[in-house]
Amino acid sequence: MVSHLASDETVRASKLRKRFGKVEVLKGIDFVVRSGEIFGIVGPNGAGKTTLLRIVAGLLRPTSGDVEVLGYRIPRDVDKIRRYVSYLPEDSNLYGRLNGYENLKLFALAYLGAKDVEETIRLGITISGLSPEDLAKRAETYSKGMSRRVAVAASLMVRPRLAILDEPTAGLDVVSARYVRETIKKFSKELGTTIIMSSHNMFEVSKICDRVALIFSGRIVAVGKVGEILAKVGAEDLEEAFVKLVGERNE
Amino acid sequence: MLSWLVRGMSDLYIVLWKEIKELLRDKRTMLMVILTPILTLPLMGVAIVYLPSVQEVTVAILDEDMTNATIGDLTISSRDIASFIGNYLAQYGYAVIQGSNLSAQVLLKIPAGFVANLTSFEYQASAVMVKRLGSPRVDQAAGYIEGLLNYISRVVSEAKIRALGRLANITVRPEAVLSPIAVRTYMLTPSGMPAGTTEELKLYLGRVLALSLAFVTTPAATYIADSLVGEKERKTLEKLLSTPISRSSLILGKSVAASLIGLVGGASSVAGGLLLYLAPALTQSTDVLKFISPEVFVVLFCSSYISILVSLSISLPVVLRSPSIRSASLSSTFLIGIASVVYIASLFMNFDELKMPLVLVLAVPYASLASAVVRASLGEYLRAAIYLTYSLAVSTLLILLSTKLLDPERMISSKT
Repeated sequence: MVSHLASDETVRASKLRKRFGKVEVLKGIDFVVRSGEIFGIVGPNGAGKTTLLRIVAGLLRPTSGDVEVLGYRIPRDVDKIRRYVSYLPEDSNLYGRLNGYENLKLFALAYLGAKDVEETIRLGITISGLSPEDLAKRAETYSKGMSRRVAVAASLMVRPRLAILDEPTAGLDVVSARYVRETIKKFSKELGTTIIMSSHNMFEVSKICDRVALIFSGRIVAVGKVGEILAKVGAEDLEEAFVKLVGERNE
Repeated sequence: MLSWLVRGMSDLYIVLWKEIKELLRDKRTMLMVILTPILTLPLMGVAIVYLPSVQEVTVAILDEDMTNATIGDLTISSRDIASFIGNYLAQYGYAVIQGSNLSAQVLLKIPAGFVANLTSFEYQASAVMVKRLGSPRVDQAAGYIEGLLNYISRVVSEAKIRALGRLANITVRPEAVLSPIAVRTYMLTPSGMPAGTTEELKLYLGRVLALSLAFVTTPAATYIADSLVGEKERKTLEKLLSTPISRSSLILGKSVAASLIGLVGGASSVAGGLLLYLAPALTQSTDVLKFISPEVFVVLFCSSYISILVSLSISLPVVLRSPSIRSASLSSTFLIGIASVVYIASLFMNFDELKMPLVLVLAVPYASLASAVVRASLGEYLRAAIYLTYSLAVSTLLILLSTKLLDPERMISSKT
């Protein structure tokens, strides 16, 4: 199989469609994620963000179109892709009866086997920012903010080539959301991990993403650097740009 | 090939590590698995053997005749009959009242002229028995009374035959008149070995033990439903499915963990079975302990564990397609129902002695497991081992096939 990825690309999707029964959720999506960048997918609820991320993570099969991740095709090479890609689903929980440390250990083992597990967990502890006492407690006792910090740590500590984060700050208070955002930004650069994150928070995406794709009703309505999109649409912020773009589409 | 195997074993270890940690911390489930057979089986023993014997039943014997008479060499009186029956019933714990009693559950009336008719050559004596319906112990008392009256009838008949013989001046043996055909019954085990009442009791207890297998089916079937579909509802499944852990390791790891519950359940079932034997011994001084065979318990333990594997193997394909725990649990309940029907049926029949095509029911692993316990209780260990091996092979094969059925898209996309 010949890869269509350029040397600086991690993900390339073209004419991607996904249908669940009679409902078409993705209606021909094209985008590229460059290696090392934080790529934001922004859109309202029901726009198709989670479906798109699940396809890139290898959990759903595209109905049609091509998706290539790290030189591998989806769904054919899913087993290979999963070794290099970590995925944090929206609203995912930790294992409540395991403590924070054990939750980190589980995912360290899942990605690396017995190799470098302790070092990986140490990195996870650093990323989570939780104290050893907190990590020794069962996850069922954690606040949502603590759970999310451990979950983000579990996704990044395994040094994936691509981390897919679906609404990583959804439902968090201001302080926790800020911590998660800063963690993603800091460790993606330190670890050289490409990030795709979805959000419906335009402010958040503007702050940490290198490039964004605005998605609405299963279609990408704009893609590029935030500044480029704002200039092109003539808007002051991403929210205004989105409303203008969606308005044009609706008309 | 080798690296694939190493990776598979490593994945299996990871899933097992997680499942066992979670399982050991789920103390309520563990307690239920351990305590259910330990509490219910002895209770079953008490219910079957002890409780019926202590149920209060009053028997009134009303002698309206109060006469005696002689036939040949036998003198008989209505008072003796009443007291003979009364004493016999009292031995078995019945409250016996000589005279009329309106609250008695069983009333035996010996009417006037009873003894005269009993000893005559022309008339038949009739007694009247009234019993209140609704209690097996009342039926048992009525059965005793009928048996005792038959015994008296037999004794009187023999006296009459001897008297007639003397009158006719011929040699008459009462058995030759009363029972011209004698039937001698010899008991054999199903495999043809000589048997007595001991083997009969062993077989009965074996059937009760086979029924105990129904208890260990429940926790594992419920656990596997919760383990797979529950992860979805607890929002941990999607993340787990996205990791490099192979799908087959995921299913196998969860199945092995669920079967460990079965192992604990099996051990509890054996302990419960032991208590089932002990319960009547303790409550009624019945020495059923001598019927315990260690091999039967080994077979029971193996059957319990394999019964879990069978339940897992049958429920996995259904659970993997269930959108919610409720739906998965209902499927498991259906499965448990089938297992229970088979195990209860094993109380009354030998599956391996059915005719074609009904004998094919033995292909249902639950039937062969029940048969293994029943056969082991009769000392037929080779046959028991064949049934166990068959069930183990079928369940293992089905579990391995089920690993191919995990479809992440289906599990993630289905609505709970």
